[in-house]
Amino acid sequence: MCRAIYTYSFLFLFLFWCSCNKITFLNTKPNTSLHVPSTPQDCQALLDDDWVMNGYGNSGYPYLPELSGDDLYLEDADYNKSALVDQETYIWRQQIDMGDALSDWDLPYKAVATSNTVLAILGKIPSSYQTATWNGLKGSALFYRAYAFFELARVFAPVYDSTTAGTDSGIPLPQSADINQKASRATVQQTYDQILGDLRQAEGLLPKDSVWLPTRPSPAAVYALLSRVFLSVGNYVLAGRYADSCLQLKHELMLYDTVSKTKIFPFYRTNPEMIFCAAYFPGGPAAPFRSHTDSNLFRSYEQNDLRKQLFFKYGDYFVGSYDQDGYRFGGLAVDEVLLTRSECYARAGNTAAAMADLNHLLETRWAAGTFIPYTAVDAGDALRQILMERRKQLLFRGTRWADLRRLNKDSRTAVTLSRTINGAVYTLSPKDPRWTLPLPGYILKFNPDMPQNIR
Amino acid sequence: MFFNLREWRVPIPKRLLWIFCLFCATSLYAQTFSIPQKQATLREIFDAIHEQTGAYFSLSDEGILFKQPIPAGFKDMPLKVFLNERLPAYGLTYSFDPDDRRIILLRRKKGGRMARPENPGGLRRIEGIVMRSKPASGETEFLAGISVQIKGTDRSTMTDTLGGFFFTDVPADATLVVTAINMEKMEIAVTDSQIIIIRMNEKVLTLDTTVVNDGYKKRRRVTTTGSYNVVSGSLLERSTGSDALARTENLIPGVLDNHGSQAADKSSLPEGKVIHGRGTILADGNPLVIVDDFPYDGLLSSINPDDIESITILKDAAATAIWGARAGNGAIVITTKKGTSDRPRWDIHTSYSIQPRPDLWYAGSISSPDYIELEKYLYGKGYYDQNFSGTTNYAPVTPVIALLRAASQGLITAAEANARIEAMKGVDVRKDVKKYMYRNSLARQVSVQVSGKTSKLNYFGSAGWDDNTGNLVGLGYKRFTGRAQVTDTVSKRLQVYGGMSYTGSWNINGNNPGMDFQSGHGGKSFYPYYRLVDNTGRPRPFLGDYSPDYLRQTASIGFLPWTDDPVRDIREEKNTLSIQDHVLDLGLRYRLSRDLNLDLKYKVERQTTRGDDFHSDSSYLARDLINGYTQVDPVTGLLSYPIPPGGIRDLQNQVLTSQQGRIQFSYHKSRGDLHDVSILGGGEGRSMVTTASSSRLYGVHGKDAATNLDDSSLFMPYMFGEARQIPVMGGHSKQIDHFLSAYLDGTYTLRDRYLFSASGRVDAANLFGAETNAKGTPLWSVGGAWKLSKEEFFKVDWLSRLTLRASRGTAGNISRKSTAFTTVSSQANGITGMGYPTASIATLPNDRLRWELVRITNVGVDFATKQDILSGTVEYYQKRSTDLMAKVFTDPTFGGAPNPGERAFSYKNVAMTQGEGMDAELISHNFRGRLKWTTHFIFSYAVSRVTGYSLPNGLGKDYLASNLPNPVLNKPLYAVYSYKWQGLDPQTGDPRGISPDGKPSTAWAAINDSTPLAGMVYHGSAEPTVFGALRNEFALGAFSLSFNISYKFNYYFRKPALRYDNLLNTWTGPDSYARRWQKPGDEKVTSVPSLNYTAPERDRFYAYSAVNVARADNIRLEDVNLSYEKKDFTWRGIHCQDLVVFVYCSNLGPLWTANKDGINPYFVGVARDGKRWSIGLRASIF
Repeated sequence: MCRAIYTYSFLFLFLFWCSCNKITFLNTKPNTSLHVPSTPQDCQALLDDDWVMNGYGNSGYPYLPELSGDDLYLEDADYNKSALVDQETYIWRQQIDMGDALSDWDLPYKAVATSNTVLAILGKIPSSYQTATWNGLKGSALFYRAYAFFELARVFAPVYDSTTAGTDSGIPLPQSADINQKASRATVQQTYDQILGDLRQAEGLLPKDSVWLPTRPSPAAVYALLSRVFLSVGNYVLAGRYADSCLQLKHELMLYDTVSKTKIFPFYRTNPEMIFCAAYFPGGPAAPFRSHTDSNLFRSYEQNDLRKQLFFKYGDYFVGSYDQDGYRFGGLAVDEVLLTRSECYARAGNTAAAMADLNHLLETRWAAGTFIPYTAVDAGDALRQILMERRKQLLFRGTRWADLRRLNKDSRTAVTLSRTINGAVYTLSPKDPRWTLPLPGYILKFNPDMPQNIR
Repeated sequence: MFFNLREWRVPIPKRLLWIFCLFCATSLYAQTFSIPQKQATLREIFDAIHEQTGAYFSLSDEGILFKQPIPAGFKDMPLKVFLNERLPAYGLTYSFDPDDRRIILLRRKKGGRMARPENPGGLRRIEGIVMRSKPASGETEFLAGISVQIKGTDRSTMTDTLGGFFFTDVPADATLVVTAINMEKMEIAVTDSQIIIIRMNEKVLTLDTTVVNDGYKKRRRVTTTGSYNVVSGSLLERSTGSDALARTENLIPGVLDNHGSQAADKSSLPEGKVIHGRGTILADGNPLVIVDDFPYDGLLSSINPDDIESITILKDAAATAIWGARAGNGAIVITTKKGTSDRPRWDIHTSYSIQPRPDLWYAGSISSPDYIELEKYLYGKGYYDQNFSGTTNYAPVTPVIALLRAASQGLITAAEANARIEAMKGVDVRKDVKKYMYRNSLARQVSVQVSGKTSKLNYFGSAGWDDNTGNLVGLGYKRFTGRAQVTDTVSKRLQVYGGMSYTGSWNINGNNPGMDFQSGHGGKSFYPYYRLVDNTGRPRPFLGDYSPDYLRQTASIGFLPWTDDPVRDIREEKNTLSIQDHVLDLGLRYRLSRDLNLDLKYKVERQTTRGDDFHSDSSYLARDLINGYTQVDPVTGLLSYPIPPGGIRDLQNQVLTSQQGRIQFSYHKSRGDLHDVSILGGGEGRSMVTTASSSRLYGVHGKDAATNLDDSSLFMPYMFGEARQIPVMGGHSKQIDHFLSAYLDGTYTLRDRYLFSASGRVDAANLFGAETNAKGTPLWSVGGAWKLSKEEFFKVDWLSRLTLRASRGTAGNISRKSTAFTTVSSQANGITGMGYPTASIATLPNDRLRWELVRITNVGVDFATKQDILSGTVEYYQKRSTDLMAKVFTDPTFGGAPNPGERAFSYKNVAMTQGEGMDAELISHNFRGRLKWTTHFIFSYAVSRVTGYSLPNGLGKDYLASNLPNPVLNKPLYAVYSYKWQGLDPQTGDPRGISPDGKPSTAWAAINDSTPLAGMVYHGSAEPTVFGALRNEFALGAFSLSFNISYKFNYYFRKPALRYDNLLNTWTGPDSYARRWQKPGDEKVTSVPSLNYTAPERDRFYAYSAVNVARADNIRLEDVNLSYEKKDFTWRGIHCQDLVVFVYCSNLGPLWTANKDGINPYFVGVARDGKRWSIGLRASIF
């Protein structure tokens, strides 16, 4: 009997020990590569997920604007083998069948969800730990969110018009990663307020002295993006001012003469002009060697303009992405900011400053010693030249469509696009509502109350 | 002669020493023998008798008597006289059992008195011995602990350890009643022979005597309330094959084995066993497999079927609830063999199987003349012009097109081209493929087992070797299995056991896809007139990726040879997958008191999988990759190789380590017939860690290590193609599963008539990243049984047994598809390689995550007629599954989109299914005389439908894959849908569907893309809902014959359909091309559309239209087994207790199919496997 008591007590103790260990045992992560994020390190790793946040890998920022724009054209054969959504976008069909999933919508919102997740984690970290690192992470998350929102706004929201922005439908602006919420479209005004608000907050949070990496946001990137956003809403004063702020921090230009001409893709992601790298989705005809460069544009490069050699291979196929490995660069770079400042000078009537910026850029694009500085008779002439050079420098950057949208607001710079495919001619005039792409049909199915863009 | 004298040692009983020997036939009795020597020992005399008459003797020890010579000198001594007159002088006696025609020789203990009737008044002393022949070996066994009663009195006794018993003062006319578990009850009149020999017969195996093992406890089937089926080891031995579970097919009611019914989209239903219908959508639907009391984590192919004692199938809640959350799909409990015989017993099993090459003509491909004529026609139409223009001018073309092109370019004359084309019409690629890529497969199996038991030790050891060569040249499988188990009874209280097993298996593959060949980039299959070798037998290239022009150009500037010779390439890849599995079992059982036992068990398993896929430098894969990246310097023309020339080796390593421990108390108390209580309870823990890694090495020469390239640069291929990165293959993963469980299970039996059972179990796992208290789930079951036939009022004469059973309870299932929190997966570096760790969101939070729950209700009737002539079980069950994990599409505006083109989704516990079904098993002993005929009939009906699922049904096109779960309300999970069919257009031969307004329509794209689910034809389940088998076994003397006929009814499959786009793009297609619509009127006799090569949507519509769906119902002759058994003989000094030689044939094909197209639903659109023939031998040697 005594023995039995010992046995039972031993067993009881054993079971007790087991139950104590139960919690650790059951809290073991099922998969070592999975875990629940909670620390600033986790936040940094999430924001460093270039696959999502910078649009690399299979994801990417919108490419449909590139297909809609006039930088490229498709041969009938390439058009015919393209996906339906690409075909319909290319000919600006009134309705575009975007299928069940569209990377242009889904992937920027994925970056938004990651940013929101990071912001939520940061919010739970006690304020005593809210140091410079914490600030930097919050600023980065806000920047990424603003970048994604802006990418979406310039595709799916109508171009900003101060008279109607309060009523025009913008894009949904989710503030958390809760998948059970319902989405609704904010107004265009709210959309831009959100973007600019995020960026101005980020401006104060991002450290000025940290080591620069092309995939991470920096103060220069905040200024460059602010400049891009203000340019798109037609606020040339602030666009120029932020461009200038950016150039104060980052202004180095590549000498194209020193760039190797034998590589297929001559530029690197870490090139001196890089401010913030981001790629747009290299899908369908946006993939390298699937679409041709607009013939007039291709012909417009002069003999000593090195861009003709560096930007094109195998005829007129574009290879001049500022990224590498065939990724299509759509991020922020010094050349764009310089051209923005130049344009803003011209629009402000400062012809000399405008032409100085332009010539400063072009000099580096031409073979050494061959460049003769451009001159302009007046600000209007300067603007015309700057816009032409903007097009020649920033082709296939995902920016042309947004430029066309804002330039169409002004009849002097408005452009009518035209395409011929399989013998049929399609045109898109400046006042056409089709300058805004429709929302994907499946998004409206999830949110039946959401208004569709009128086309 | 004597044999095994030394091995056969049994403890010497206190009262009697029985020696017995068996004579083979009555005729022996009258035979005579001679011994010329004057003196001989009894042993010598028995030897002589054996040599001269064939009788032989088994002795327990060589007693003194046998060593002392006794007078002999017999000449033609009749055996009977010797036995009657001489033996008593030595204290020996014998008994003759006329029924069994045997003579039993016995020796009385020294000093024991002779048992002659001494009391003429009638009362006398009787002695007897109870024995039986073991069914498997025929070996005689004394039965201990058997109750012997004098009928009509309360005098009874139990037999001793050697089966002996005695009564004194027994009336001469008394009758003995002998009863034992698993034995037929016997009544024997007392005779005046000295020793009463009682030879008991095993009860004919019925459900009543079956022992079930649920992994926690072994118990008799009749003492349970649950639904169990048992497949005995001997039934498993009926068939051949390396896979144990595959051998149970068509033997168990309620268990469905799905067979790959290849759909038009070349996919098949998930294979494996489905017990009582599927109770889950996305979670693992396979039953839990338990080997020797613990869930088995390794590959089931690691278990040698010859090592298996029995397989128990647990079907209802009362049976499975003890396994808790993982047994929602039922459980399969495998019990390995233990030592059973007192003497060391050797078992040798071997079999040799051969399966001829598959039938490549069965699937029916387009003939060479048809394809050539089609190509000529299309060439004339300019269809191939695209291949010779623009950037696609390096696209591969077939030889016919190349010849036509050469002729039109004037390189050869039209007549020459035509002559060469005509010559190709006589070629049939399948002849070459059959000859050079296939062969007859062989499977050799051999295993040796040794086992035995003593009062202290029970041991079992086995070794097995399987060596199979596959039907495809270069494919082989080898397996070694070794197993050792020892149970030691240390004291009356303590028993310890240990077991070890090792399995090594090696799967070897060459690069031989057989008829499924597809070229690397072009996806081209063998065109019908392709010849694999030339006239001299040298392999010929198959140009499916590049045009000959391109290959010439690249060769001229120094590229590696760039042709694919499929026959030569078979040997250029060596893919070895080796799996090493080690299992160690330890346990002890301690008797705490007479009724209470404590069991501690521990098991550790380690399975290492190593894959080594080596493509030699001459393999097409290596040459193609190297060439594809080779860069040509535009200035110097020099070649550079981003991928270093050499072989390519893909390595993978996976290590699975699982540890399981259990502590269990079991209590059993029986009070006569009145109460019987059996309770067990305990807890167990389980941890399984799986790590896996893989890598690819380039530039491998011989065994040298080589580079693992990590270059993300893009390279342009020479001349044409898109820029690409060098494929880097590699990865590392680690998965950890932890489980903790506690369980309690009790059965109470009242008066051996009323059974009540209840069980409960709590499981917890590290599954969900959820709060600890949400990780567990309680599961329970209750059951009851009523042995109606034991009631006094039960007066149905012809029914000897009738039991009603019912049970209800819950089981569960787990799915790792979802987590309660946001989880991220981490990578060491981002894609841009900036040198910092990254993390991406793996799952979005699902805070309402829980286990899947399966509620099972089961009622059953067990019955047997008198003498078990007909016995059986009929069961009905209902299975309701709730909280099933299902995919729910979510709004990608909140993240969650996986990849471009993929919809954002998450998994939630949203779905419900409900299943019901019926099982019946009937066993009929039609003849029990010299000819024995037994019939086993099993019948299963199982349906399951979705009863709750919140996803919108969407479009019909999402439901065309019948091999994937198609959850639709009130429909089976696996169902076949198709587009409505309106026949062929009489004018054009176009296939016609139906437009929204109900008219015949040829708007195929619209029909394909926009037909709502409601507008589709729903045919029915893709899984059979009525199925079963009929097995007849005949035995006559030493021969037995059995065959199994299976049936599967009420399900559908999609026939292979002609798709013109595939026909032209893949260079081959079905032979229904010959039956295509060609002129008005054809639509009355064919449904194959007219030739139209520019409308893929039309092809797609036709392939998925109702006309291509057929009933898959079939009746098959599964297998035939003919065996010859010889018992108890000696050959060259080896005594063999049992020898079975058998011939077995399986895969005999259908006897009847519902479809009239001659399609065997097990092989749709693929080559049909040949019949498998086996011969084998099983021997038991003591």
